[in-house]
Amino acid sequence: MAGKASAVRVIFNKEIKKVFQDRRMLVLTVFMPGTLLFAIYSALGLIMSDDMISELSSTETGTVMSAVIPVFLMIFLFMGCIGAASETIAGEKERGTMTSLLKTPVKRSHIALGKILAMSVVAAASGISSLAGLFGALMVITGGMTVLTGIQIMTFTGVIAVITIVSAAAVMLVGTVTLVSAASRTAKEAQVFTMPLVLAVTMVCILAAMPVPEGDKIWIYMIPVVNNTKCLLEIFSGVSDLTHIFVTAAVSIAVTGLEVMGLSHMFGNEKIMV
Amino acid sequence: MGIKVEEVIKTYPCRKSACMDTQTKQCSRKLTAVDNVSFEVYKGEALGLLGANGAGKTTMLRMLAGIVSPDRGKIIINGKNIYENRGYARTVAGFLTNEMKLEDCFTPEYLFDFFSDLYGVDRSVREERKDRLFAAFGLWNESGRKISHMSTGMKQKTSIVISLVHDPPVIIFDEPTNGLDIMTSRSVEDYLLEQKKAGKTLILSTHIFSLAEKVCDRIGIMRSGRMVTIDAIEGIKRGRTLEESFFELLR
Ligand SMILES: Nc1ncnc2c1ncn2[C@@H]1O[C@H](COP(=O)(O)OP(=O)(O)OP(=O)(O)O)[C@@H](O)[C@H]1O
Ligand SMILES: [Mg+2]
Repeated sequence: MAGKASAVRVIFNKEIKKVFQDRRMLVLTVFMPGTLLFAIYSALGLIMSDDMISELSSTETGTVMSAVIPVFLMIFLFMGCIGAASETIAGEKERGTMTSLLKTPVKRSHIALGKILAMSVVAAASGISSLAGLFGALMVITGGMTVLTGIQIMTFTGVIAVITIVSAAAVMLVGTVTLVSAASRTAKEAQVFTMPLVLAVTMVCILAAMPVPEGDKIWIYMIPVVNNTKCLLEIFSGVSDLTHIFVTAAVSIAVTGLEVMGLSHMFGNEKIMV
Repeated sequence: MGIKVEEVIKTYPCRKSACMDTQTKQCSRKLTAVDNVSFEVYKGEALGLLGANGAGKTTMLRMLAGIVSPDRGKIIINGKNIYENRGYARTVAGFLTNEMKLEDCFTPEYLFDFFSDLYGVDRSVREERKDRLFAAFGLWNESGRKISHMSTGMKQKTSIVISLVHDPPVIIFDEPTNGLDIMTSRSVEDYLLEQKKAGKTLILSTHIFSLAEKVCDRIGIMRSGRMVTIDAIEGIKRGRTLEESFFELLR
């Protein structure tokens, strides 16, 4: 039987290769979101008045942007997760390819982990593409870097921190969508079932971005999604706190662990999978 | 590797609208796909399962391969109860069924490597085995073509080859010659005979009587989940053709 690391890696590689093989999927999940957002916001910029644009370019707006961007990033990330994960689990069930995987002696948890990791990469790429589209459009509209004044991640630790939090959020959110996806019969069904989750995540992210008196209590950083948003918020405003980042990453990984367990259990259940 | 099936029962939830409870929208009845079936297959032997559509052949084979578990009864492969040790059934069995599909966007060669890795097959062994299997089933010309661009028969050949990546001691094939032309059917027969000679245990289900006659030593005939009879080919034929005996038994 294949060793632990290798079975997970083999499945990871296959999933990534599949995304590249199926160009449509690559375009839809990775390039489309960014391009679309760029186009829409640039078009908006064209019809905006000069006053509005100078408003956008002000330092104040920059500060507001630094609060909005983490929220957008989380939502885009989640949308990316839905595209990627509904296809890889429910889509495989629908097309009858899942059984070929389940008939092998590979541990169900390794199948789950391999798939979740691969889809996280796709989801992260999709989220970052969306964010780049948004940034790009704002830069085109305001004619430069002004929007970025409020955002201070340009340090080495800042970048590492963003990558950590985004990856942790990606695996966790992909895990969530994957669970829903495993319970659905078709990719379409999975997408419909995740719609309420999109609303929920959006609401939670917006709420998390609002300043509250108890905002820096450590227990707040133990609530998934809220903590990811809050950490990004901190990093973007240049006040990253290592404890917060550490707690957030740990919580995300713990949640992912539970999700992998749940998913392996579902993979083992013939009523759900066969 | 010997296989022993003891009083196996498998039911599925019945989803017929006719017997649906009007209030709960659920059906309390169950559909018994395999009903108290017992038989044995010996090492180096080939058993053929025949029966009408819906007789329970595929369900029986899925249980043997460790894909689904029986509601009751035991399946023992090589002395091991496979429901206490599911991974074992998955390791020793090469399972083929037409409900199981291969991913469209890959080539046979890639899929062969992928499944070899999942079964933990060594690289050097893998290449040699790939050469042999692709040659045996005439797949070399297709080895770089995507599954989505293949004909039904080519897909079937690929599925056969993929189910053999780990050189399984137990070969469980559900309608292996489905959609194959006569030349390829012949190469499947030849391959199965060769495997039998090499001491592998074979279990096939098929609607093609000539395949059963050529490859199998014993035949089991199923009807509505039950094993109507199981005997050596000659014992079933008793001087008639297999087809005649089949109709006779199921009448
Ligand atoms: N996943 C499933 N859920 C519910 N019922 C099922 C399922 N799979 C099979 N059945 C039922 O179990 C019975 C046996 O089916 P099975 O597929 O084992 O027959 P078979 O002998 O392989 O038939 P065929 O020759 O058509 O392949 C049928 O009545 C079928 O409707
Ligand atoms: Mg069948």
